[in-house]
Amino acid sequence: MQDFPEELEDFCGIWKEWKIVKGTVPLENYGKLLKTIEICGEIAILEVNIVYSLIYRVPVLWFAISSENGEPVENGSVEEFLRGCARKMGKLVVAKYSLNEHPVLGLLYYNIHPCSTNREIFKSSSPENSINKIAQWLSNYGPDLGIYIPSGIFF
Amino acid sequence: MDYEVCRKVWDSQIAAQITIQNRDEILPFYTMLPRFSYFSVVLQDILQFFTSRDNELNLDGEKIWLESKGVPLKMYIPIGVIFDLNNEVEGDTWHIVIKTSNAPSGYRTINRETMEQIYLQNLKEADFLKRKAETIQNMQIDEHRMLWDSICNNHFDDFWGINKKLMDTSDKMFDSIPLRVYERNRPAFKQTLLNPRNDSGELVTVGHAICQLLAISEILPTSTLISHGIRIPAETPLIYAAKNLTYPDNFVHICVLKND
Repeated sequence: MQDFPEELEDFCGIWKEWKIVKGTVPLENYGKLLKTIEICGEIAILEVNIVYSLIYRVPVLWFAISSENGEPVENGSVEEFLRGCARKMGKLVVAKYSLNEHPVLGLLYYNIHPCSTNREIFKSSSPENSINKIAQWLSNYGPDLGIYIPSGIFF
Repeated sequence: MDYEVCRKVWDSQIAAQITIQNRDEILPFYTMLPRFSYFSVVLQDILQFFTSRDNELNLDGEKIWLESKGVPLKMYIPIGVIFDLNNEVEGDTWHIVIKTSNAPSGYRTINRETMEQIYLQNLKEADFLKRKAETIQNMQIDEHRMLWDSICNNHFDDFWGINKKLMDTSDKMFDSIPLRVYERNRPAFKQTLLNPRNDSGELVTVGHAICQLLAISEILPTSTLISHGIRIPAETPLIYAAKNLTYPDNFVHICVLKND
């Protein structure tokens, strides 16, 4: 998916809550969303990044959750948050995730494992299918983090 | 696999002096740190040493962080890579401070259990690059655990007894080579898909791979490629590095250092 930078620009241009963070080369650009969430009655800030993986050749969701004072929350709270997102989708199992180094920031973030990503979405689309590829992908994997595309903006 | 090379790489160690921030009255701890290991693995023993000497010393393993010469040390990158990247002088004692103040923004202290998960994810990623993760998916969970335990317990033979499966190329050459490249001015390592052979069927060298990765035309004579504290000739075949110079996560980690 070499057209990731263009698709990302298009995506963030339509869904304005997402901002583009520029990397040193266009494939390092990533989308960033900040969202207030609640975990066990506590308010927390969820940061989600859409980063292109040069290894898996698909976008990957990276995320961090911090308390209101900016401290990262405990692993247990992250698990609880993901469990809540899974429940909302009627799933019993949370998405596969782990901590690792963010490919652009060089800091530890969580990521949703890209192994199950449907690569078909990213194959060159037919002219009649002009829906943004990142939006198509996020409609499948965003709910793992409680992110739902508002109706009407892409589909 | 060249047994001698792999054994020497595994056995290489770094002399370290470890002190505690603002506690000059506490004698330093001197140790040899295995290059292949992680601070998350060795930290428990270090903290235990300090607390066994002073019962009143309260070091919370989840809150402390590590620093050397003002640079925070990442606990999830192999120790040898951090040493090489910080341009420490081989043979000199590495001065490391256990910090008890607030960690820099974004820094995370990693315990051994979390490190095990990070290690396994890296191992899976390396095998995804080499053969679409087929080998690691066919391994038993016990074997994953044994790999990790052999790192924690410094058991070379146990590690290679299992790791040889991940390194086997008797049936099929690796699709891509797991290589991570570090530079001092970049916050994160760089990696991409790197074939062991070019379109003409020739073996790709470490130098060419790094040029491709960093989008540069050549390795400048003023730059040095370092892995395991050894200067790696740019003409080293990438496949040789992948079979003999990997860290236990199956990645080749190379620091590109610019000589001043």
